[in-house]
Amino acid sequence: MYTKLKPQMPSKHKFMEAIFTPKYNARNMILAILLGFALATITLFIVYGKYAIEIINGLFIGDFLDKPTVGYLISKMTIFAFGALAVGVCLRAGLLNIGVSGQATFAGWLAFTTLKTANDPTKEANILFVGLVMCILGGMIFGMIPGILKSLFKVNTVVSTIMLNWIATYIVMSTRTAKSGAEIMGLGNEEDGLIHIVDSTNIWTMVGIGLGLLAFVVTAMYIIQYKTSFGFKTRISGLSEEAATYSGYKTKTNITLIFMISGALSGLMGYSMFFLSDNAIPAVENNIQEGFTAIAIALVAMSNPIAIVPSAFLFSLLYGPVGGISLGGLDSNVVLIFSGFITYFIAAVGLWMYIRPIEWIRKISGNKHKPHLDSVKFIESKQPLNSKKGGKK
Amino acid sequence: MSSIFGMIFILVGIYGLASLAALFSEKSGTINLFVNGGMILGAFSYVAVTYAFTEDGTTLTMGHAILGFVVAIAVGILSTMLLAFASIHLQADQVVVGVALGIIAPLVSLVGLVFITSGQTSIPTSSIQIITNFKMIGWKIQIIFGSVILVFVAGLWAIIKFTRFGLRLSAAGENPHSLAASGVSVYKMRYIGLIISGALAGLAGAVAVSSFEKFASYSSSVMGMGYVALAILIIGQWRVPYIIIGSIVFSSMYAVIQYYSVTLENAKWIVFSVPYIVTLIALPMVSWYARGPKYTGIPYIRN
Repeated sequence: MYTKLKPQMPSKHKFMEAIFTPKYNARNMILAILLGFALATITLFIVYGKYAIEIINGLFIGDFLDKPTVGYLISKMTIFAFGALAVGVCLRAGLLNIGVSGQATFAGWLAFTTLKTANDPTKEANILFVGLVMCILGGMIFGMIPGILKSLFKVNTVVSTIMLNWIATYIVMSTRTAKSGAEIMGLGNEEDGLIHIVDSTNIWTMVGIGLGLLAFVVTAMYIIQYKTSFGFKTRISGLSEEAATYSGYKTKTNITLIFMISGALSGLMGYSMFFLSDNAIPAVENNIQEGFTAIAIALVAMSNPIAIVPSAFLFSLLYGPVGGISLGGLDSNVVLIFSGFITYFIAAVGLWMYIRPIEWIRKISGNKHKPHLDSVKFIESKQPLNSKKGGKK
Repeated sequence: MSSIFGMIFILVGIYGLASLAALFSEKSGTINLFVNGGMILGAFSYVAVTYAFTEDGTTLTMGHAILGFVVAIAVGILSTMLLAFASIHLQADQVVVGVALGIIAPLVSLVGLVFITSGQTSIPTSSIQIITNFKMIGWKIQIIFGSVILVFVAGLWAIIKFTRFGLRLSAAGENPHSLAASGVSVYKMRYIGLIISGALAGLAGAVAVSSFEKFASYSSSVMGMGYVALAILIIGQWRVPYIIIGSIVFSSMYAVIQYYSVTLENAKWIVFSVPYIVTLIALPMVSWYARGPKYTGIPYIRN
C-alpha cells in the first residue's frame, strides 16, 4: 500500500543507513571500537615507532601462546566483567556509577580486616568464603552511600562517587601493614608477611571459582534485567523518570537499591582482584584503574549482561603481558589509551551522522543524483497506482 | 604559620580557577566533567615547556614560566574542544564524554612524559617550580599568585554579572530558545563558554604544578582537584562569591591538614581524607535547594 510517509531507502542502502544513524546498536558499537583501536594504534606508533607492531602482536596473539597467561587473561576478564556489570546496572537506570574502584577497594579492605581478626585465618576455604561474603557486604554498604545521597538529597552521583573513591583509597593506605614497606595491604602483618591465597599450584582452581561465580551472576543479572518486572521498571526509569514515577515506580527506594546491587557487584570485582588474583590491595595514592575501564566495557556491551563477557575478554587482552617487551613503565597504563578512545567514540556516536563516505564519493565523482529521489522513484515504481490510502488516482 | 597562609592562598587560587572553569561551561549549558582532565593536560604542558628550557641546567626564569602558562591555556582550550564538538554538535551524552576524556587525559600526559624524558613516568619539579626557583621566599610567591588570581576571578565575575556577553552566556544555559529567538547563536555562546572553561582549567593545572609544594614530582595526576572544584561549584550554587567562600573553607582545611599531619604515620592518610568527607557531608546540605542553569546537560538542537 502506498502511503505519504517519508520515503524508505532501497534495501541495498539500508545496511549503510543503519550504520550511519546515531543509534546505540551493535554495528555502531563495532565501528566505535574499530575507530578507537585505530587511533590508539596510531598513538602507539607515534610514541614507540616500529616497536608498536611487536607490542600489538604481543597483546593480541602472543598472550595465547603461554598457558599461565591464558589463566591470567581469564582472571582479568572476570574482574572486568564484574566491574562492567556494576556499571551496567546503573546505566540501565539512567545513573552513572564511577565509584566502582572505591567500592571494590573498600570491599576488599573490609574483607581483609575481618579475616585478620578471625581466629584461624589461614584455612583457604574460610578465607575464600568469608572473603566473598564480606566483599559483597562491603560493596553494598559503600555503594549505598551515593544511592542515598542521590535519592534523598539529589547529590550528583559523579561527584559523590569520586569523593568516595579517594576516601576508600586513604582508608586502605592508613591500614597497610605489608612487610618491607611495599605499598600494598595484605592478610599478613609486618612480622608474618603476606598470606598467599593463590600460589602456583592452585591458580586454575581460582580461575574456575571466578568463572563459576561469573556465570552464575551473569545469568542472574540477565534474568533480573530482562525477565522480571523490577528490571523492566528500572529500564523505564532510565528512559523517563517522570513516566516511571507516574506509573507508581518508587524512584527513591529503587535508586538506593540499584546502587546497592551495583556496589555488591563491585564487591565481587574486588573479590576477584584481591582474593582470586593478586592477594593484596594496592595502597598507593591513586584509584585502581580497572574500575574506569569497566565503564568502557559496559558502554561497548550496551549494559547487556551477556554481551559484557566477550567485551571484558577483549579488554583483558589489552592488559595481558606483551611478550616481554619493555614499555618503559607504561605496561599497565598505555593500554588504557584504547579504552579511553573507545569510550569517547561510543559516547560521540552521533559522529556517524557526519561520516557518509557514499555521499562523499558521489560528490567527488560528480554524481548529482540525490539518494532520496532515487528511493522515491524506486518505491513509486513498485507500488500499485490504485490504492485505498491515497496515492495517484 | 606563614607557609600555611601561602598554601591557603595558592589553593584558593587553584580551586577558584578550576571552579570557574566548571562554572563557565555549566552557565553556557554544558556539563563539564573534563575539568580535572584539562588541569592534567595544562599541568603537563607547563612541565613540558619549562623542562625543555631547564633540562640542561638553565635556571627557570619568569619568561619560561609565563610561556608555560600560555601553552597550558592553549592546550586546555584545544582539549576541551573535543568535549565541545561531541556535546554541542553531536548531541552526545555530556557526562559520558567528559568521563571518557577524563580517562584519556592522564594517559596522554603519561605518554608525553615518557616521550620528553626518554622513559620516565614522573618528573621531579624542583627545577621547574616557581616557588623553588626565585629569590623571593616561596610562600610570598604563593600569596602574590593567589591574590592576582582572586583579582582575575573578580574580573570574570563582573563580566558574567554586568556585561551583555555575560547575560547571553547565562541565557545559553537558562533558556537557549529565547536566546536563539533574539538572534544570537546558541552554539556560538556554548563554544565560547567551553573555550573559556578550557583556558581556565589549563591555567589552574599549570598554577598547581608550578606553585604548590605537594607536587614535588609530577606524575600525570592533579590528585582529583578538578572533581573537588566541581563539588565546590555545587556547594557554591553556581555563584562566584559563594564559590570563593567554599574554596577558602576547603583550602584552609586541606592546608592545615597537610601542614600538621607530616609527623603522623599511617594515621595521616585518614586525616587526608577529612576534606573529602566534609565535602560529602556538605553536598547534601546544599544540593537540596541548589539550582543550576535549567538547560545544562540538555543538547540544543537548532532548526
